[in-house]
Amino acid sequence: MDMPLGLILLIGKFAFLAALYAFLTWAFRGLFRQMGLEASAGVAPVPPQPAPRPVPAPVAHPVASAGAPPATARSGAADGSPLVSAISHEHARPRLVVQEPGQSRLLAGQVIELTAALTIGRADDNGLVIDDRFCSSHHALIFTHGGERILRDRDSTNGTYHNGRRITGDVVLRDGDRINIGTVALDYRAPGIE
Amino acid sequence: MLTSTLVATLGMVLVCLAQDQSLLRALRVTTVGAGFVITSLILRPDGRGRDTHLLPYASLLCGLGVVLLWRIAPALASKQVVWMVLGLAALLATYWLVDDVAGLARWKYTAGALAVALLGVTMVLGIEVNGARLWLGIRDFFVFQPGEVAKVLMCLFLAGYVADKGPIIRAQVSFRPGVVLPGLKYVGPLILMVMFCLAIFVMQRDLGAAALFFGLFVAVTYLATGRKVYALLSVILFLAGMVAATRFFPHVSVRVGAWLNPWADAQGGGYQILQSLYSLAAGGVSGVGMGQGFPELLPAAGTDMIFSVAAEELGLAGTFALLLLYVLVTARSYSIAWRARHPYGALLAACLATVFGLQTLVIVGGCLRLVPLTGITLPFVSYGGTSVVVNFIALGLLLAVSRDCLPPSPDA
Repeated sequence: MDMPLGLILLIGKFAFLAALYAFLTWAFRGLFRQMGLEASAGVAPVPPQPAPRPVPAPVAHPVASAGAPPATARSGAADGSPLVSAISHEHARPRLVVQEPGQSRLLAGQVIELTAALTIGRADDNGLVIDDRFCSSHHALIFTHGGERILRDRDSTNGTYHNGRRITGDVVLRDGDRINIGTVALDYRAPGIE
Repeated sequence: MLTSTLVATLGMVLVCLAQDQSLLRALRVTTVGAGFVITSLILRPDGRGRDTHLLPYASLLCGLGVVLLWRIAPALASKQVVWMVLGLAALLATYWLVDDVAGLARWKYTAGALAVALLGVTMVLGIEVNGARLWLGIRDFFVFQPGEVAKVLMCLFLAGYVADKGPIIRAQVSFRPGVVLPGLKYVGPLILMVMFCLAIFVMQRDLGAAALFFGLFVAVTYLATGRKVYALLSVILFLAGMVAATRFFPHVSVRVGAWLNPWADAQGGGYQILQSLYSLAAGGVSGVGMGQGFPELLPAAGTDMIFSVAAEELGLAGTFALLLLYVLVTARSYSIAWRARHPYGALLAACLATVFGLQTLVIVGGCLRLVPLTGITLPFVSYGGTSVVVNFIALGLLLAVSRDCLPPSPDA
């Protein structure tokens, strides 16, 4: 009686382990198949929100970068860089280029021509409407003074950032400057204008 | 496919059991199995992108749990079966009540406040068992562990908060190259909340839960910002905190001492961990076989040390399978997070996945003497009413998120 029971238990033990691994094989096959599908589909239909938004490749703006060096070097580079000068012939006026649309409905690479005074905010009466939850209704203003473009924050809740620094007073804009409003990143472009 | 595997596996479990206990009693395991089959059948005609794998994984974990508990104390196993059936009901209720996952985000502050309130009340009015004040209720009649509930509430809060404020935190971090810390305005409430929970846990001497919450917080910060700096900073902070806690809290230093040198007090503080190691050694590669180990020797065998019991009876092969199951649960949950349509759903699924994964790591690591042993449950396997029901609710939430996912493919 002892032997058969011991044998049964031994077989049972390994049968149980085998069943466990059979289940795992099935489960992992399912998991890998799904992962393969996700991978072959390229990007998931909706980009995974928790992941950081990839920085859009600055194809047309090789000199664009946050924390730009002082303006003197920048305006000189406008002549040296063929790409930038090519653009500057097309658009002589100073303008804003959307770098990161964030949560707004703006498009990456979208160009906003600057007028004498451009108001920026979430409300419809602004020159540039940014429908971002973190943008105040009347957030900021870019105006001309003494031939220069000035950026001013209009007591916005979440602040206006100029080259990564929150602005308190007026700031003179130079070519290549980065402006951040809410989740939106804009570049100021004024090549060849002094 | 789903149900057949499920039944087959549970059938195997049953056979193994029948060898040292009476066959009739083994029917209790099938109660749980039947519960799962019914649940999956109820959920089946849904026709949306709902995940079809998590439920079988959980059923196998639960089945193993009941079998192991039965080995230790049949009375506990019977109770656990009742809890699991209740848990399945809770899962269904969660799944149906949460019709719109994105809508849950509105309750984030309610969830956060509830978590803090529950923990606070426990600290004042809690029932003490073994020197830790983790239970709430009437002794010997109905008690529950608010820490477990707070875990899911905290996930709801963190996911909601980060889904709401994440974009601005992310934007601010990404456009300020030199600046590491985003505005305190946005992260402040987050830090405050987590610090509060951590403080309570440390005062309650529930170190496992404290570690779990901290890990969750780190994961959420990483998800919100996509910056590895935070994870690194947090790990350094955590190690520093550990060292400080070891120095200042006698309770912690006893635990750490037992971890570093269990032989120093082999009959006292080191007893549990040493017995766990003996169990692991006794198990060997393929285990001593179901029902042939000596789990009676392990203190808290049914709750904290159940992994060691499994290791003794199933051996390395069995525990490896068990760990792979947890890998599957966690990977599936992250996969749900990846496919979720709404950022809140994605974050919630990611938070819950992190909790499952971390909890397993902390307790299994504790049993293996890789980290100091702390008293938390092995999800779905350990005995514990609150823990089981809460894990099922978490599973229900994951399924609800997956329902609104895009289906992976028509034929999958």
